[in-house]
Amino acid sequence: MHCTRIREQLADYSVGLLDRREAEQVRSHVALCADCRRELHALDRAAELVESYGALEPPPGLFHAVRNRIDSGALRRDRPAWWALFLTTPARATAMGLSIAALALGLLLPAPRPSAPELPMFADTRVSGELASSIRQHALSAGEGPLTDRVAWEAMAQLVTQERDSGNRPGVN
Amino acid sequence: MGRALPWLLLLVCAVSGGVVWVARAREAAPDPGSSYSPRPGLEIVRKAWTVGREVPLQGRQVVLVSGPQGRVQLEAEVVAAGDGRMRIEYQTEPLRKVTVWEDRDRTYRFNPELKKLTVAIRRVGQQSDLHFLESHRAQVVGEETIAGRPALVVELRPKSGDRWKKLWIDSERWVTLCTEDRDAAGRVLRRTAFTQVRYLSPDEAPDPAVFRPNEALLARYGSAEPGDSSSRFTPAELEPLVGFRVLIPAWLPSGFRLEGGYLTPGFCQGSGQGVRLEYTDGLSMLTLFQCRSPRCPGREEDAAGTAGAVYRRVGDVHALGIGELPQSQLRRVLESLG
Repeated sequence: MHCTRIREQLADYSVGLLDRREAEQVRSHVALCADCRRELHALDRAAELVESYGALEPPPGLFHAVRNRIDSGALRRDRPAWWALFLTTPARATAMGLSIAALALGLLLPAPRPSAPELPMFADTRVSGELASSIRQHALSAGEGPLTDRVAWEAMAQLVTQERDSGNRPGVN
Repeated sequence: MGRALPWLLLLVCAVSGGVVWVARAREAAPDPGSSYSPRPGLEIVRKAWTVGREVPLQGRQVVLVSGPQGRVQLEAEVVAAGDGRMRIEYQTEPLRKVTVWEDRDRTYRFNPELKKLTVAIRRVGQQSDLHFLESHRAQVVGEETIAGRPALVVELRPKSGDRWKKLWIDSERWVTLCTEDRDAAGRVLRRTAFTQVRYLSPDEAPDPAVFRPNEALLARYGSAEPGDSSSRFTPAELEPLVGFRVLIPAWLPSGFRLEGGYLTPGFCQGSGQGVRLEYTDGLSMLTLFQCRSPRCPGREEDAAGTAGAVYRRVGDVHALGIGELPQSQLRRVLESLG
């Protein structure tokens, strides 16, 4: 019979709790197996040791004495460390929920977008004659600067001039 | 350890969520430049301004601008002599046959639709000033081919300011082949790009007559546009000419400085002579018009409805600021006049 199965039964065998058939099986095995035999001797020895001290009876009134001390506050409860709060089940459940929320926020929270750009200068705006003349002069000056786009600024000046003059609006120029 | 696992998981998820959010934010932000390893581009820009401008060439350009009627795309034939003389002839509507000639002394602008040819004395001096590079950063961010030419892509950004410029500069001849002006969000405000370009050899130099209109056209349509004068003054010199105190802004956007003051017709009807102060940071221009008049009806509504223009009255002096700046900055400049 396998040692594992026998060792499970040794404790019961040593106190005579097994039936005849099982006890015979254990006895036969122990006779042949030195390890199990040693285990049985250790169990017997432990039982003898316990019996040699006998059962101890608590002093009378022990229960009530301890109870009275607890109620009077003489006994102070040993408080757990502050961080133990985070290891409680509700705290851990909250942490799991926050984890999911943190991931979701990262994925779903709107990313900041650049503010709406201002209109390109003079775009889609009909201007008066005087303002058109000023814009024209500005465009011509802007086209003279270093590395400025002369062809584009001259075009802008002409477009504004056409707008001003073709409408026959009264203007300074 | 097992009991602390949910908190560790929270930490990991919070960090991951933050990383994902930042990555999405960067993706939404305007592209500050390509992933090309940036290297300093100021020398390249300097070469484009000095060496590149002296290359005689002939070519065709596509131009994208914004005008009173909205975005317009044009094509233009360009001839440049390399010594400042040039001709621009627009090929497509709404500026078909509009031509700008520039010889050594004058600039001529002809609009066949308006049957008007204006003549103005050329300005000198401003074009050679590279002080603006001090207030800008230039980085080479890539290489591309424009009009069959190899080009370095350079981003030119002010150290403080919103508008910036992207340039494609011929890596062999330093000619600027394409220019884009962009706003803070990276949108293209205007763009000019060569679609064809040919560099002219010395024996292919254009006839000088190319750079001025023919005499018949001049005789028939020639005129002067008031305000096109190139005579430059200081604000103090302008005051006795116009008869009112010229207002100077106490605040300007970073990098801007006064380029010059000019006489110009007042923008208020019946106001007589006014002044025009021009400020620039090398990339953007801010123009302050001022005139004196007891009244200037309609200017507030005009300027309020136009992006790039702000009006303010200081006593009997009317001021109009025009520039490709954020409207808030433009307002601040006008409010600082005193």
